[in-house]
Amino acid sequence: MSLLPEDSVHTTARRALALLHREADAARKELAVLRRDIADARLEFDSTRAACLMEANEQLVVAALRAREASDSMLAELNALSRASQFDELTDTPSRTLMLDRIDNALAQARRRGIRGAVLFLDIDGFKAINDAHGHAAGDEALRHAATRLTASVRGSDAVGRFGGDEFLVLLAEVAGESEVALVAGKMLAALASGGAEAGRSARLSASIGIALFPDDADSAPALIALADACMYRSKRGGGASFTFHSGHVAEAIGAAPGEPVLRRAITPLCDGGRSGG
Amino acid sequence: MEETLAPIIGIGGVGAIYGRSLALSRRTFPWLPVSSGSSCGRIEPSSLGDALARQPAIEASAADAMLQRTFRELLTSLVGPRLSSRLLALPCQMSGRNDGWQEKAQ
Repeated sequence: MSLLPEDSVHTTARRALALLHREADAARKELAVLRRDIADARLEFDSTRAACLMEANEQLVVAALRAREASDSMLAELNALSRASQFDELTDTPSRTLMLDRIDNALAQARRRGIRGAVLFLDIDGFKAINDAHGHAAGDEALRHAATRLTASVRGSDAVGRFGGDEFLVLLAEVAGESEVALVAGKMLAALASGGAEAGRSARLSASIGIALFPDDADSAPALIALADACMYRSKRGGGASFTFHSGHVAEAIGAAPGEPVLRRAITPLCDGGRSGG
Repeated sequence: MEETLAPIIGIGGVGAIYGRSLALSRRTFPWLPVSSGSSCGRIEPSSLGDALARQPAIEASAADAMLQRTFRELLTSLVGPRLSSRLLALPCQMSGRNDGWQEKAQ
């Protein structure tokens, strides 16, 4: 049984209820603020995460494409290096190494198929005089001109390569006989002497050529080249603008004395200059 | 295309693919411009537009087609065919047609 009057009890209860209401309102407001903060934080987190993802993607794409560009660039350098090792930079003809390889292959083919071929060692006559009189640029031009003319004188299956300095190697991979080789050698001398539309002051050239046949004369590329080189010197000593076969019987077969330079008389009228020796 | 892809792979990413597409297409069409800062630059439609405008219509159209094809192939090689198709379908859906680089550039 209460000792307080009934009104007083009601008043106290109302006050307590009002207090509870106020506290509940305050809690609700605080909760709303909290929810808003959480939503903002979530938005910020999502947007940061999206930005991070985009940045990561961007870096991955850029890195992947840079790697491809680097790979392309390295491949191009590798190709250039490979080509530089196989081709002469000045004349763009096969290098000495590549020519040796081709001669070895031709020798193997000749043995297997019972065919014959020839190696021609060619030295430009009077090249030093061109360099001395007109400068190295003119000398380079003469070598390029010689390479172009010599290459045009042989078949696609044959090869012309700069051996070094003013020396060229020519491989005739398959020939019917000595007279065919003599024909090609004569054609080369005529081509060098003829100048041409592209001819400059150093375009009219002559050369001394030595010829070794395979497999008759030797059975290795270095041996064939050495024989052809020695024959070239015989041509050179004879005044240049000529070719000399290693085999005496071959020279006889085409109407020359053994070991003597061939064709100088025939070619000389075409060569006005460049016969002062290489 | 740039607007669709940039939020996903960034402007630099789009620029890098575009630059590489230009470089690869230039092997066939050497007159195509070089993308400035190919790996991180923005697409500069004006330089492409100028280059295309100087060519006969057939040549320009062929270059434009190759550039688009190369861009798609590069994107596909990076993100896979499914995602690439979904990403590249967005601009078509939004515009209702497939705008080429040429139209975009001019």
